[in-house]
Order: sequence, then structure tokens, then C-alpha cells
Amino acid sequence: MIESLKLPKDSMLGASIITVTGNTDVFVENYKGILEYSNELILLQGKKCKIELKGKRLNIAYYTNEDMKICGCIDSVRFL
Amino acid sequence: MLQVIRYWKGYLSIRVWGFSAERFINLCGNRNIMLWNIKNHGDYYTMCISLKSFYELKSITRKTGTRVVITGRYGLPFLSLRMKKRKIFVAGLVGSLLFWIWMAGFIWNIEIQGNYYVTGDVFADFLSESGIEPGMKKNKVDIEALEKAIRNEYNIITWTSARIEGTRLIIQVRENDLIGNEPEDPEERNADEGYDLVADKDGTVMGIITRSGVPRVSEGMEVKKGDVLVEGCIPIYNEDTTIKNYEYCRADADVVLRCRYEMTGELNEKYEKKVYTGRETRRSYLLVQGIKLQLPEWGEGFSESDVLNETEQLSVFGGYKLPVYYGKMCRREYVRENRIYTKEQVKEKFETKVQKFIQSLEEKGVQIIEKDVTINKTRGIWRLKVDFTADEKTGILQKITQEPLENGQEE
Repeated sequence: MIESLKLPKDSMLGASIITVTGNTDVFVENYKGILEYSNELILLQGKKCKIELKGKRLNIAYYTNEDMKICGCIDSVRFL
Repeated sequence: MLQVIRYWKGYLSIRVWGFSAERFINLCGNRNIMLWNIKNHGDYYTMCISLKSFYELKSITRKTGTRVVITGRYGLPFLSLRMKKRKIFVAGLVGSLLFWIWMAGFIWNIEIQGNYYVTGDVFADFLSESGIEPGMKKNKVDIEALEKAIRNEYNIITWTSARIEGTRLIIQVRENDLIGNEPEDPEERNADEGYDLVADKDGTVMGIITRSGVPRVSEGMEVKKGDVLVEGCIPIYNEDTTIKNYEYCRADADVVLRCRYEMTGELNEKYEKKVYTGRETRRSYLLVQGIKLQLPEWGEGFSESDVLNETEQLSVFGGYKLPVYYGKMCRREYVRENRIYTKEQVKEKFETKVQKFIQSLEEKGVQIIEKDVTINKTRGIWRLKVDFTADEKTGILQKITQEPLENGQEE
């Protein structure tokens, strides 16, 4: 239905958008909040599922209601 | 750009700790409070927050049970707070600003452009006489009156333009280039009198084109200085070829005269040459109101030396000139050595001299046809002799003072 109407999936299905630049920068859009934050792990609550980012020296460069940017050495991105 | 806005509005770095710091971040997000540089330090977090948003944190901290302390204040709002403690510094800053503005209200430099006959010194004297001097107030300068005064003072100046640029007064003038070509004043020219065209030097006439007047010479004729080339009175004949009367006019003709120029030069074979030893001292100085401020010279002086001064006027922002000059003085030691010119050197020296002479002739409209150069040496002195054969236009106007001779009729 959504595909046939060519509507954006993120707003319709509530899917998160994750843009990974190399293994150093991650942009995340469409999320509800942070569940956990430490230097090695960031756990985000998406609209449908959780997003788990693992890495080293993880920092949140900025955080707003719409989007956030995470810097550090990213090892993995997982959907739980 | 974002950083500039942040700095402008002011921001804080804070430390957050307590039961649920993640919830604190989430709540900030929900209330559209932007956080940046969030770092986890184990049992506490540090982050940055804008000054305005900081005041909204109270309810969040109460809700989440976290504690917040400020660790750093950045930005303009805090700068002004800090400045309150440095009153003298601020006063100095404001004072210097006011000083600059006040100083910018004066003329510090007068520049004259386009003057050739009227030299800069003469101009400067005239300006100071009429009250225009460096250091005067800008609004005291009456541009219109100044332009008029310049034109009235010097007839040779046909056009003037003065303008103030920064703290400089720039005067541009245009001089009458034709000054040398029109020796007589217009009144005389309009008078109903005749003028002859006379030769101003000896030579052979190579060509003559008469526009008005009666030609007295023809091609190939030798003339002496002062000979009449074209007569300014035209005889009007009766039917029986007797002269009725004379009509006077201004003789006008192009007369090309072949004449000779001679040029001589001498050069002593021996000369003294300054040979720089390479030793030099450099010192800087400051020039204020004609007083030179300089450290005294120390060490052994040079027995013979050249002094080279480079002075520059202190200026700020390009146009604003200040009455302070600074410069460098360079003293270079030399020793005198006796030398003898070689033949090639002599030739070269004479050659440049001849070229200069030729150039000066060509500027006068003289065309060189032939040149004969002889260089010889007698008793240690080189002598140069150059004979030029040249074509040039001749003829100067001379008022007719006497009636033409009657014998002209019979011819």
C-alpha cells in the first residue's frame, strides 16, 4: 500500500533512519529516546524496535528531539 | 555558523549525575532543548547547553532526580560580565576608539598629483599660505574655494580637483601642456599686424610648404639664423604690375631645415670607484614632528660610508595617515679605489650619452639623418665628438616693423 502510493516509509511505518559515515559517525532520526548510554554502548528506543550501537569512545555530538549524531569508533549497529 | 550563534547567545557546560541521566537527556529532547558534546565519564555525564535552555532544566531535574552543576560559562553574555571586573581595560578600549574617531577628523597628509611645472615644494608653500596644512580639521577644508584658489594662483593649471579620502587630501591638477608652443598671448595674435616667419638657426632648406604669406626661400637654399623664410605681407598688384598696397597676415609654413648639431664630451681615464666592503649597520628610527628618535650609535664607526634612509609614514586602514614616520637607516661602508676606464667602458659611457642626446633631439621633433662619431684619447682624457646632420622644422614668428623695400616691386 505504502509502496504503491510512494509514501516515505519512515514517517508511515515509524522506521528509524540511520546514516553511518565510515565507522566514526552515525546520524539517527526518528527515535523516541535513549535507554542506555555508556562509552561502549548506546541503546536507543526506536518507534518499533530498539537500536543498539556498540563501539569505543562513543560520544553524542548533539541531541535533539528529531535527530542526533554519535561520534566514536563504531563496531556494530543492531536492531533488537 | 552554529558556533557563532552559540557564542553570541552564551552557553554552559554542565555536569549531570544521579539516578537516571539517560532520562534527563530524553526529557531535554522532548522539550526541544538542544544538548551537545554529551560525554559519559562513568558515574557522571558532561554536556553543553544554551544559556536560555538552562533555566528550563529545573523541572526536569526534579522529575528525574538528577543533579546539575555548571562547570564552565562561555559566550558573549559572560564576557560582558567578566569585563565589569576590568574597568580600566574597557575604559582604555573605549578611549582608544574615541581617540581614533577624533583623529580621523583631521587631514594628515596632502597629496598633489599631476603637477609638473609647479613643483611640489611651491605647491606646499602655497597651500600652507592659504591655510591648508596637515593637522587641520577636515571640515575646515573648503574644497570649492581651494580649487578656485589654485586656478587663480597658477595660470598654467587648467583643471583642478580636490577630494578628501580618509585623512588624506588629494589634489589633482592638470597643467597646460601647450605652454611652450604658444609664446604670444591671444591679444597680440588677433591684432591686425603682419608676422614674418624667420629661421631660428643656420641650415639648408629641404622643403617648404606655405600656408599663408609669401615664401622667400626655396628648396636647396642656404639660410642663416634670422633670415626671413616666409614674408607676412602680401603685395596686391595693380593691372600694370605695380603694387597697389600690402595685405598683412601671419606667415604660416612648414619649413624643413637640414642643419648640423655638434656634441662633445670628455671623460677622465682615471676614476675613483666606491667599493662596498659589505660591512653595514642597520638601525630603525621614529620621526615625530621633525624630531628623530633613534638609539645612539655604538661600536667603531666606518671611516667612509653611505647612508641610506627609508622613511615611511605610519598609516592605518590604508588611508588613515598619522603624523608619525618610521624608517630604517642603513650605513654601508666603502673604500675608494683608483681605477682606469677600459676602451669598452668608455665606448659604452659615450654611447649612452649620445643616445640621450639623440632622444632629447627627437623629443623636439628633430629627425637625425646622419651621425659621425669620433672618440680619441689625449693625455689620459677621452674625448668624444659627434656631428649630427638632422632635419627639423624651423621658423619663429617675428613682427613686421618696416615696410617692404620698394625694390621688391621691380623683381
